[in-house]
Amino acid sequence: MSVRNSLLAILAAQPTHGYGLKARFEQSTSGAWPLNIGQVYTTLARLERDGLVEPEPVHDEGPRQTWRITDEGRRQLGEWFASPVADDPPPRDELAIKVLLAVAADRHDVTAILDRQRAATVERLQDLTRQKMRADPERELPWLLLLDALILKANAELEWLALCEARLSQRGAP
Amino acid sequence: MRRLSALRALLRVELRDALRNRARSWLVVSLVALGMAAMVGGGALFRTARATPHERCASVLGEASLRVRTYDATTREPFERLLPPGARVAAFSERAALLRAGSREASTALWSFERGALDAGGLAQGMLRVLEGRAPRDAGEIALSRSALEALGVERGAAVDLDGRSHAIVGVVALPEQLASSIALVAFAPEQETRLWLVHAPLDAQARLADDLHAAGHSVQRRSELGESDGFEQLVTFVLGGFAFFEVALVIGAVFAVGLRRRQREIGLVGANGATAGDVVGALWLATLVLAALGVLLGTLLGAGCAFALGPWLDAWNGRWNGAVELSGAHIAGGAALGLASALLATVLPALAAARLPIVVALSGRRPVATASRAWLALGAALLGAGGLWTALGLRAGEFAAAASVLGGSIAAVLGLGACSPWLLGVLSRCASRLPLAWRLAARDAARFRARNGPVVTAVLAALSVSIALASLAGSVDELVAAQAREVSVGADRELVGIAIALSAFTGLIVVLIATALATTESSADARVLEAVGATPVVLRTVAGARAGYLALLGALLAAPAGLYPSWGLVELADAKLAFHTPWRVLAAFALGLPLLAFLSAWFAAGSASQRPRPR
Amino acid sequence: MNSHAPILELESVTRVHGAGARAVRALGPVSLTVAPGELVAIMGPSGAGKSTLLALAGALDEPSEGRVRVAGVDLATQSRAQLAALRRRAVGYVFQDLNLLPGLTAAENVALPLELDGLGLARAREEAAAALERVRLGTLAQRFPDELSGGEQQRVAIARAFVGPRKLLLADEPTGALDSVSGEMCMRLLRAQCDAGRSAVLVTHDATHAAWADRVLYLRDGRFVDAGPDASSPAVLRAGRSA
Repeated sequence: MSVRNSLLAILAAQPTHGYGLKARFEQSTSGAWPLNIGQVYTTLARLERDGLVEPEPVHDEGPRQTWRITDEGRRQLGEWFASPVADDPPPRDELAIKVLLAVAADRHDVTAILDRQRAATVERLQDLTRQKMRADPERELPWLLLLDALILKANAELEWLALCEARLSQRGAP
Repeated sequence: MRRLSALRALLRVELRDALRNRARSWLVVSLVALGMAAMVGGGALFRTARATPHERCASVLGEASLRVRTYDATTREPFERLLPPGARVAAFSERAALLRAGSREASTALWSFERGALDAGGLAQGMLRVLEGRAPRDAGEIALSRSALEALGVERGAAVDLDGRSHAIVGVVALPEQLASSIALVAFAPEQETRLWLVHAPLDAQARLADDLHAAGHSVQRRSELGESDGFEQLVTFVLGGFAFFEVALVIGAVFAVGLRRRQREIGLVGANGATAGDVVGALWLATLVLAALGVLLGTLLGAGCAFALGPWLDAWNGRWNGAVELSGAHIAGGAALGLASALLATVLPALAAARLPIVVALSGRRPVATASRAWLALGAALLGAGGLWTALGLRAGEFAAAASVLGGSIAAVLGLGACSPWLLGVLSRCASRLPLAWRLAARDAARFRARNGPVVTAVLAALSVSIALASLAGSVDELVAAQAREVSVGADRELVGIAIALSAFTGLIVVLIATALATTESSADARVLEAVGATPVVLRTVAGARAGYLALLGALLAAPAGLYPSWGLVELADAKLAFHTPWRVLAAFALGLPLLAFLSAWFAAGSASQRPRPR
Repeated sequence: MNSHAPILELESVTRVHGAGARAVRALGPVSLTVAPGELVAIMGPSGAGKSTLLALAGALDEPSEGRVRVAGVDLATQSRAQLAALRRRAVGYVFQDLNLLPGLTAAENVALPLELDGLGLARAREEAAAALERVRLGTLAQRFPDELSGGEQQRVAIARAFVGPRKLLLADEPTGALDSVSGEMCMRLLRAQCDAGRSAVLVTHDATHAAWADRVLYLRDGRFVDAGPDASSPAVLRAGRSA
């Protein structure tokens, strides 16, 4: 769903061909989510079917097909930007499922699972922080913002783990 | 070297803190200054107003060593033959005389001195003073005292009749110790016969000469017989001044205890950066010394200024010629020493407690566990016991030892009761659960801050106990009109006793209000909580009032035994002629009036002052 | 002392409060070694003993058992005066807030340990200015603490912790009272100081700040948590920092 809207957003800025779409998407998300060209074309085909984009008339200078956004496409894009992102129902989270099942099964090593997960998450957090340390806040602002988002996500995971630990120890206490 | 550098750095911290908390610093400065001013000014006025031994001697025999009244009136030569070589002599006379001016009359003591005797270097210098104009030189001249001039309705330059002859008034004179007496001075006639002589003889010849003259039937007063030690006056000022500074030390102690408690974290930080406890105490002392020195300086200026300002009214007040205001170096030096020492003493316990606190505890901002009040209780009980024992033993000893034991025992009693007060505060706060909110808070707060309130209660009880002792003694003296000299000197002047009682009660009130103001700043957070849960301004005022009233009540109740005790001791001392008197009215006024006054003062003050800490 | 010797060593350290039946073990036994240039973060639930560990490392408290060495000096062998000297010369503290004496300017606050140590006024000021420059606060040296923002106050505290010969910073929730941008600024400066060869132990509950450390240790019930079978030393989540 987000790839669809992302391509619409890029096309809204200016008409672009397939490879250009892939390059621009990866550039503005700092390469965090690589896109393969096949996926770009499939998505474009669906967008065209729904009347949100259309091929530009072929010019002399190049063989590659350039795409542009339709009025209906602009309308849907506007709706997407305007509506908040809501994860409802929540995305399936492997970590959460793992912990919940361990608790349900009353496994004795839940704490060990939490500890291992925390170690791994902290390591990821350190890694992200090191990348942030090296990032240039002037020229790489999108990259920095993305790192912040990932850091806070990891942090939320750690907070959740701490809460799990606290609740488990409370359950153990009389 | 390290020590000095560290002291400099921490002294900077302390002085900046003193500058930032101006109200508190001024409190310390003005407390020391007031004690100092009372000592310097009061001492100077007392010293000026009181005849010094020299002045007393001079009024009787000038600068001479003997005053002789011969059996018969003679001229100079026959009298001089009685004296050893090297003796100087001056003749003078005094007789009753009636002066007339028109239809008015005045009876006066008529004095005359040999020429030159009254001048500087003359033997009669100081017996009689020329206040205006000059002394008469010729037979037709006269000088009168102001009272004689008033009685006759004349002024200098007019003439009066004496023994049927007219005399021109050339000056105004007075006896220095009796300004109001009606006297006249005329010139001494060259071959006049007289019975009165002033003699100056070499020291080794004086005793012999006096004996010879006495044996020949003349009466002799010797200067050495008139002389009296100057020590009493010094002693009185030092005892009173010492007590004033004891009060000052107690209040400053309370102020510092609060200040340091508030800065506990700062002191922890300094410790975390490597300051030793010695560094911290040293800097606190130095900063206190700076404030106290400022107080001493201001107090000296204030005291001297007041003394000089009041000086001109002194003669009219005590009817003697007091001369210029005499500042006493001993009082200034003694006052400075007492002022500095009391400020330093006041800092010792709070500073040591602050510096000794483990850094981790200091940084956490937690209050150290209050196990101390039991130790204080033990100390208080020990002091009370020791004081009682001292008095009991001292009362059987000689007079001076007995007086000292009563004074010492009383101070021990005050300190002992004061030392017990933290414990008492703790006990009372546990009984407070049924009191109304404001009083419950007051009792609990007083107990929570008992380390600071201990000195406050002690200061109140010390101030009030003086009043109670005075009132009790005065009552005893009143009951026995024919009291002995010592007790008369303590309580004869009812008016002075009244003033003293009012003053010490006022001191007690001031101490309570200072303590309450400090408590209010320290518990501003509590006030905010109270406000937040919907307490009305009236409730907040009542809480502030209750804090003051509670401390005043406790101080007043403890002051009763502490004040009656020395009074009882002195009454015992007075050869059983005095009956012990309980000043119920004063006790009631203190136990009811003072707490009420404190309550109302704090109640009104709470409205005017903002509860929030002031921004820098 | 060679430059690779540990700046801080805790050897099987235990801290017990109280005695007898009411004794409570606040910490330990734990061991920890901090090398020059290393930034170590300690996390864990409240009551786990984080602050106790920091107090022991900085000679503010004494261990019930075990050994603490700062710059090779065994704290147990030191007199009170020597410990005070150690706090002046070797260890600096940064707390959550109220780190600065309100009566001293930023520069004077930073110079304080040097002056306490007997350094001349001019030299102390010079060193303080250099230290403030390192945390990029050179222009605010003459401000009083209440004229500085919370973040700036913490940076002054960091400067003071590393002023003169001081090589070890112990920080207890230094970013706890700051917004995330100021907090990150503090961590950046702390990281830079450690990259320049100084060392720091940081107690925090904020993982995003702990992540600036070379090592993140997790303390639970007074002990470091063993992260897993492949951890080389207890609770080492990630050893060494990428060059």
